[in-house]
Amino acid sequence: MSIETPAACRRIDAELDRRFVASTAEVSDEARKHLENCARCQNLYRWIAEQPAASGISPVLSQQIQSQLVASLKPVTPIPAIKVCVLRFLAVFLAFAGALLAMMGVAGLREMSSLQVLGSGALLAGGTVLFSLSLARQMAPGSKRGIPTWLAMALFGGTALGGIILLFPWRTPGTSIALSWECSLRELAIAVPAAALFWLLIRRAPALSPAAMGASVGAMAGLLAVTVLQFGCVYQEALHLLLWHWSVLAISAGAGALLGRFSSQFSPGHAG
Amino acid sequence: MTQGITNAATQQEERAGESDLPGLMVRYQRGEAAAIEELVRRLSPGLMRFFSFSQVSTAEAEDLLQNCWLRIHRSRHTYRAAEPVLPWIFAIARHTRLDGYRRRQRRANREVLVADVPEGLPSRPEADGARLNAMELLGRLPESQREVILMLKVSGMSLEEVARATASSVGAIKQKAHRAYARLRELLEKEQ
Repeated sequence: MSIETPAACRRIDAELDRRFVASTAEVSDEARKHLENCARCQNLYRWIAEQPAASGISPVLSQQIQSQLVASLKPVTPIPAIKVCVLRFLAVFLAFAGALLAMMGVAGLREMSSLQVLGSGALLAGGTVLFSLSLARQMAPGSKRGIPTWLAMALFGGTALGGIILLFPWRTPGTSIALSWECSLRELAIAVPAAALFWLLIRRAPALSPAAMGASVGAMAGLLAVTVLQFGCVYQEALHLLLWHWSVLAISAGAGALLGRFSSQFSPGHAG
Repeated sequence: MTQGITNAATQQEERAGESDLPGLMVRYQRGEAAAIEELVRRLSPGLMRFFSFSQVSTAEAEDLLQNCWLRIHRSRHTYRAAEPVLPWIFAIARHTRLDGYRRRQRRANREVLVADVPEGLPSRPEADGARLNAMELLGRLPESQREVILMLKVSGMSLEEVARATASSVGAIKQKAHRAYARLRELLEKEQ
């Protein structure tokens, strides 16, 4: 074995790097020559290029698995496509929010300027689509992910915070704590049944990431409650909205994450 | 090196047969026994490799494989037709492996609390010489990198498939693979 220059070895490293991520890539003639003479690179190549010894499974085990599955085999209805799931979430969201607004009134709408209505409407609509998409993707394992659930939530939280601060007047709330507290309680009273409803929609999905799924359900429910109060509450000041309205979204997402995590610990076989 | 070429050819054959996996999954959802038998036959070797390289004994790997197929069976309705099958399968396998690891940890903690661990017990289950080297090297990688390497190298998945199975981006998987590879290179060089 001859001693090769580190530069030649580095070229091999670069080639093996490519091969490592695309195992079908061919090794160049130059690299092949180098591999014949360099023990260090030979060792690396063996590890990267060679497949590990096939871990065959015994025919008995294979048969056992097959018969176990065939014994309980029944036709199943596959979950709908992502688009359909998103539309379902949106429809439920709109129906629930619309019914509540019809009952509670839209006094808040009259207190807002056109810019505030458009701005807060865009924020709420964006959040609803984002969380619906996130939930629809989580329903099927191995789905293509846009952005991770936690990052989506953080981004939306940041945008909402900035949006409310920019859109609404920043002054001392004209409400007492008791009245403000009532807003939060009403939101919580909406968020809890809404979360149950969204959970019903995703109940057939395996909770592979129970915390993320719980947080998404909580966020959707919280957002629904925020939407109802955004248009139903007459106190449209930034501090009031952030402290007593939007905080419920964070609380319900957090509670959902905790519940998801907690439930997964007590049902180890649930993930699937 | 000839062995490497032979194994690569076997892997290419395995990959060539993947094109009809979505069709088999759809037939499985419709309740056709022949489809599930075919899926078990085709996918079990890859899954077994994935579990075998998770630093567990052969018996534990077989338990994980059985458990994984039961989970796949219970979740079969969540497969969306025309989506790639391997990321769906390995997303479930990944969680089976993770739950298996947690269960072992809990059991180990309980055992330590109840009684002293007898001396002379092997820290890792039996493994043949050839596998030990690869397992040892993989064992020295951080968990997230090890998982990516297991899927890319041991199970022969593409970057896109690994990204889907682990719910992350292709860029993140590439980065993890390169970091893992650099670390493996260091380890292999040290071994010489």
